[in-house]
Amino acid sequence: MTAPSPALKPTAGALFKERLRLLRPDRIVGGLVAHLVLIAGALFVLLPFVWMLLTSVRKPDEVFTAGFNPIPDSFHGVENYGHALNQSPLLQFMGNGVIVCAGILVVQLLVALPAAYALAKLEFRIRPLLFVLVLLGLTVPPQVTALPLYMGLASLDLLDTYFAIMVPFFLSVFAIFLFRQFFKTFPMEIIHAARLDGFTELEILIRILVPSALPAIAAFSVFSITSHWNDLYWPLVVTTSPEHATPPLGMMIFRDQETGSNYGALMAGAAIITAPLVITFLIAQRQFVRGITMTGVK
Amino acid sequence: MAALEIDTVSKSFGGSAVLKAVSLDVRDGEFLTLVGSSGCGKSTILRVIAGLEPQDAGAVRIGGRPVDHLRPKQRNVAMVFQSYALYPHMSVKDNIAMPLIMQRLRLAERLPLVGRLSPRRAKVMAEIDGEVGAVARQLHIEQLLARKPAQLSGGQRQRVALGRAMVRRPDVFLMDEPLSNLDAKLRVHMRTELTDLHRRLGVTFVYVTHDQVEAMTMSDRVALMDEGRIVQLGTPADLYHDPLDLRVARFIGSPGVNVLPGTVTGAGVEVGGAQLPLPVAAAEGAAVQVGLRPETLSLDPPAGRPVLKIRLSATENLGAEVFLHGRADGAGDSPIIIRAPLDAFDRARAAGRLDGTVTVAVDPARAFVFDADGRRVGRRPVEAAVVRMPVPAE
Amino acid sequence: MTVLAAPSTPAPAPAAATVRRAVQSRVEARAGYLFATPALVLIVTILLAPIAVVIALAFTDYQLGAVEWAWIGLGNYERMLDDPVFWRSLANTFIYVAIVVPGSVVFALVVAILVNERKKTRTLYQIIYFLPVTTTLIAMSVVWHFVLNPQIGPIAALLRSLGLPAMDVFGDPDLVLAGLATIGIWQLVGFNMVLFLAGLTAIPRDLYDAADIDGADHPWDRFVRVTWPMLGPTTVFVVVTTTITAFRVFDTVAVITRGGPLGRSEVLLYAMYLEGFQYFDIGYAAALTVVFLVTVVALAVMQAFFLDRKVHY
Repeated sequence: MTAPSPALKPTAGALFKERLRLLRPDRIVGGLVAHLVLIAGALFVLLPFVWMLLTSVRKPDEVFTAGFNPIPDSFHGVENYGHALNQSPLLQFMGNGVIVCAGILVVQLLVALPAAYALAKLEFRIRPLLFVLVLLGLTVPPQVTALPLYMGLASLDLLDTYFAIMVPFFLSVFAIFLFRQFFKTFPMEIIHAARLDGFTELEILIRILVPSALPAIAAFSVFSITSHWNDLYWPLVVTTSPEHATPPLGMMIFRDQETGSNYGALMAGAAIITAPLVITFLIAQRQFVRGITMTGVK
Repeated sequence: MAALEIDTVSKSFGGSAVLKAVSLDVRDGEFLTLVGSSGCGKSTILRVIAGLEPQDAGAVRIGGRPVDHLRPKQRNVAMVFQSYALYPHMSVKDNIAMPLIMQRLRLAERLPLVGRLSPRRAKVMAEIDGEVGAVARQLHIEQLLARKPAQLSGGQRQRVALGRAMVRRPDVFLMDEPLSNLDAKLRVHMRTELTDLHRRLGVTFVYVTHDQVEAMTMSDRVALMDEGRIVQLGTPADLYHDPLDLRVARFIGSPGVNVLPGTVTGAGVEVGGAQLPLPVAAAEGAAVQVGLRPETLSLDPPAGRPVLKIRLSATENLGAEVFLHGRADGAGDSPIIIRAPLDAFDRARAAGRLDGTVTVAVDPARAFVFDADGRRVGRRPVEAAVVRMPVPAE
Repeated sequence: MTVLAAPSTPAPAPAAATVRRAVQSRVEARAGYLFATPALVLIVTILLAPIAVVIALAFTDYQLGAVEWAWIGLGNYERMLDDPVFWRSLANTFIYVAIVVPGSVVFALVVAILVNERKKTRTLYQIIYFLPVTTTLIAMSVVWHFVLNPQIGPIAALLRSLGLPAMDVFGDPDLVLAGLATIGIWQLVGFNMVLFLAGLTAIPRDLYDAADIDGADHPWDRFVRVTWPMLGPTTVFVVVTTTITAFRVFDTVAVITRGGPLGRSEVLLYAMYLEGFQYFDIGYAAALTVVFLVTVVALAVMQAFFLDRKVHY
């Protein structure tokens, strides 16, 4: 790439060419290509969303003839969404989702925050052992413990309850690990000062460390709610009645009721189930992304 | 080796002008320092010279040849970054070899595996190895060639960054605060090493720093910048003894220059009751600011020279010299520092002249007079060149 | 309490300090145990004990509700060796992983690099690509099933209008895994993109400037000499988490194909689910679980090894 050294006095034409190059036409072309690639990818990503929304307002007979015609001939949304909400207790499924997610998150935080503080800043004999257990726990997927937990819950006659849906997730070793990493960076001097001021360890945790960890707590909450709102495996295992069904389960129940007939209502149902998290994401987009980055890159 | 001309270069970022028609001629082989506080535009000039940032207007010439249309690699400049910008995944050897590999191997030859098919490649790589080794020997880092940057100390990384710059034999060396990440002791050491390197290479150096001590101790000439303009360009002694602007007087020198309010009179300038017989290019009665370097205030008896009365508040004994802090009576109560040699301090104390107040003699020839806008209006000192440069305090 | 017995006698300063430290460390230890107890109890009851039980169950022929059961040693594993469903599931899972991991990682890397250079449209693209991550995969699986429907789906209609045959993606044994993997890639690409973007923004600008001056200003050189090596740790992390996620594919199979057609979309987790919770063949399901666990742990160990050795600088 050794360019011939330009003459001492470039000609006017050459100068003009160089000026033109300062505008970097290669960059403009590059930017255009980049946009084309990104838009093509975006179409792939958005396709199901768009089709879901379009179909959810189509008339049933039009669904079968629409092909890839994007614009619905007539607006049938009210009927479809109404049908979805009447036919299946979708709102109840979502209520169940809220109860389950909230219950799981609260217990996870109550368990993980003190444990993380103990692991990060307190000296006690079994600390190294506890930390090893946490690290090991990080590698174990939740499906591994499903069998024994199912048997245990069955023997206690607790199947098909909110408790059964929530209990395997009360412990989040990931939360313990995340908060421990966060607390580890907290200056020891402030904790010493607080002890000298007469704070108990519990007060130090609640009044000093937890407020400082709010970004991490928010990030973890995003992570926890997203994964448990959308989780299918365990609710499918322990839930038998629609009464306690979480949104994904509800979607399956609804789909089975509607097999092959009313796609408009089915898509409306999917839109309803998907809406809460998507809307939350669109509003709190930054927090979501930051949450994923913080919880993702350990 | 080449001279460097910066011709009325302007640059703005999003509406805020960072460089305002800056012109600067750097002589061939000169060590020129751009100094100023952060945000004054000094690093931007460096990036414009390197071609990392296109200027909005103006031209840059290296060795008389316009380089504005050239990419950074074609300008034959080398740059040492504040963060060193070493490639963390490459060994020291590969870091230093990088510019040569890029220059001498074609794109296809640089490809992994495929590149080895080129018969030329092995020969070129051997040449490069030899040159890298020679540079490493000059910098005393031969034993570090196999290491990764993370395994090096700050000083060693600095040398690797220098090596990467030296190996391509650039026309101009650009250095962007290269010492600011080193600890104080190493920084003092590296100052002498860099000036030594400059002398050996004989190449044009453009050095950017916010540290006036570095500017004063290393450079042939210094350009002091403020708000996107060069305020004064001159030798370190010029800037110290003959500042053309109050900003220069204040920036250069430690402890800083004393600035007292004064008034223009028929006979010169009146400051704190002292009459300084200085011809001043300003109307009688105009308010001026008088700059007095701490070492120009003498504790010895005035012997007919104008005097200032100072109420003392603190004394700092540094061993060889003493700093006396106080406020000037009648000169707006301005804070003032006197820098006295220990023997003068001892004489004054023995003579009982340090009883809470002290009378100091002012040397009118070494006083700077600035107008309300900070522009120099007083006569320039005649003997500036013969006054010995005081060693700046760390 | 002998430590606190004689506070009136002025002890020598160092001794007093030792005493205070001893008291403090006891207070600390007590708080430590107290704070760790809930976590510890849960670790034992819902993590360690179940894992131990799974491993033990794998050596039995226990069926849920059965009164009698026996230890059968490695019987379940022997059965596994002869079980075509197991081998099919394992093979399908690996094929799925082999499509989803490169697909979603490369796609995400390209998107991240392109998005990272955008200024005004950066957030917009980020939102679009991230959207699938937040959605309920079950609901979107139903949508995908519809979108790829060979009779009334838009893709089929598009293909028909171009004169191409419509593909019955989920009905064709040769296409079904590719179809599921497409959904897998669709869901993971935004997540991986965000991780890559974080990695990209962490690369110091100075390095690109240095590369410019050194002559590495060709886009290929910038990528090979700066971007790619600097993304090393991120890439390893992304590959491993994607592998583990892909390995746990279940939702799309459960909703769309239920293992069909011809068992060509049976995957490990789905087999585990069927054996354990549909056929209640607990012993065999436990053995499958152990295989699943060992594979996932091996992946995690590989990650730790890689991050420590290979991409360390």
